[in-house]
Amino acid sequence: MSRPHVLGLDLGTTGGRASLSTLDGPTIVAERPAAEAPRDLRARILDLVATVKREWLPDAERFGAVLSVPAHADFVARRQLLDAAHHAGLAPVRLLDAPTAAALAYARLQGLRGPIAVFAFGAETFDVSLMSIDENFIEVLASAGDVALGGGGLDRCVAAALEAECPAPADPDALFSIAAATRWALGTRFDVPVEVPLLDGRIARLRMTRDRLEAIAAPVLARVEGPCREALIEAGFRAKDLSSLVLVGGGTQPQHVRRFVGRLFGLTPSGTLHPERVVALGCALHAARLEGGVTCDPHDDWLVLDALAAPLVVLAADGEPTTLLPRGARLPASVELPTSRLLAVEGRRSLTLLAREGREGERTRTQARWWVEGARVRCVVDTNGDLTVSATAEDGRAAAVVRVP
Amino acid sequence: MNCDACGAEVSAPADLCAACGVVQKVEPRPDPFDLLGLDPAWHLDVLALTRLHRTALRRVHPDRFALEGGEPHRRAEAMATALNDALRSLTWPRTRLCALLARRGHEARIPEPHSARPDADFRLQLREFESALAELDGPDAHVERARIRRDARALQESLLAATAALALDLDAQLGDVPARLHRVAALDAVLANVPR
Repeated sequence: MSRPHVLGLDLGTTGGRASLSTLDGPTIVAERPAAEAPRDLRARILDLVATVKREWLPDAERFGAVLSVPAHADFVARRQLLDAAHHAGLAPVRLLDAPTAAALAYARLQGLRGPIAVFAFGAETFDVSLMSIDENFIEVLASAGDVALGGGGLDRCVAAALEAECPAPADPDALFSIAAATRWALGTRFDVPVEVPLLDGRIARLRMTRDRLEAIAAPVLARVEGPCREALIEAGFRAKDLSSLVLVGGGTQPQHVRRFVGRLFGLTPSGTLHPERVVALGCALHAARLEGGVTCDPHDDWLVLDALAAPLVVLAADGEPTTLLPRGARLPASVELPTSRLLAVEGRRSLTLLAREGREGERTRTQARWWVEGARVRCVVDTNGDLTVSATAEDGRAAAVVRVP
Repeated sequence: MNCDACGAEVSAPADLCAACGVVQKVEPRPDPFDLLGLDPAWHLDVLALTRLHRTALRRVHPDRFALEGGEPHRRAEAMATALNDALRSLTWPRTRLCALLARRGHEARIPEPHSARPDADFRLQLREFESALAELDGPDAHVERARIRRDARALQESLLAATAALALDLDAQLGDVPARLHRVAALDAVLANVPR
């Protein structure tokens, strides 16, 4: 059987990209804007793979993929992505956190070294990762983020401010894209005229200034400060210890966001790689690494050391949350415990997996639940950040584990 | 030991067979010291530990076996998991102590602070902390809080080190280890009660 071609795939919220490593380095070989991409994950993957096969690799029979994923994607989101990739016929499949992919691209293509901060601000996701890069290792030191924060939130704030000035209700579809365009335009100008189509057919002629934009954006951008501080504390760094700052994602392109993040870390953003493409380039580099396998050139044998972005927290027997694996645990990792330490629900032991939410992780919600039998339960988080739960009886034989739908 | 695929001799650390390149199977609950090729000890050089871990991980990382898939990749995942667990276990004093006790066949866990049941002698010692906590007042309270934290941590560290010495002494009896671990947990409860 022929060896699979491993592609880089970035299914970002601003669109999908497929990338390949060629003799000239990693290249984006297929792009699909979000508006044109299918909604279903499997269909989006198949669409990109079919384009690559048609235009670049007509003789290829099998494909694998390195798929980017937000660092804060929970276990359920990771499983969905893995299932979609497997159903699309891809093997092997490796999930790579988007900030790690970006750091990898900067390390291999622009020679970035040292402790760096990667600020990934997509349309609807936000991750900040502190990483250490040397010749041989790309190591995640700490990650934090907010799953409900991104450039889309800024556009919604600007849209709301514009609508408040309109004399009649505005066209909501047009308003959002006008808000995004206004943010862009204010990167190079101090004020811009804005024309908003109203539902009654008239046009509202308004103005937006850079100062006003910064005032509107301030409450949203202020929310990134907490996770950035958390990541610094967890890595044991101060901002001045960092040698570089890398910006990733479409949300970081407007000048006011770049200035804000630069001030936050006291650094000028580094590098010249396109923030919306850098993740796909990193995925292509990692894909080439997987294709090299055990025969990879030992002089270019770098390794990505992944880490758990959010702790593995379950409900203990007393009903209190207990941390089984801390945030930052090196992946893959496992933890084993007696089932007697788990919460009993309706007379059965249950492994109830919690996710922390909110700015300071003050709220918890149930992510998933398993009924567990036997004496001991084992949770394994693999290199992809995918969680598997298994149980054993006293005599070491496998015991039943049932996922509660 | 011998390679479980080709039978060739595999030297420590026994993660990968040099002859056939097969990642070795991981025993259930492997000993972290053996896995990383370290002599059991309480005081470890963290940098040396990290170096050993990285060298081993480089040999068996699942990314090296991704294209092979199937059993080779599963073995690499299992070995990399065991190596990372071993590093985590040996990095932190409490889990390192549990690993040392496990080598003596003693499966130990430090109780949660709220379920600590210290012995009568130690309760007397704890009273000193409790009375100091009750008297916290005035402008110098923060200095006193820092002193209580420092003293409780120092006592905890000496308890952990003494228990580790016991685990390392192959002639020593381990009968009072649970009581020692309850003392550590009781100090956790004291530390949790020191106001921030």
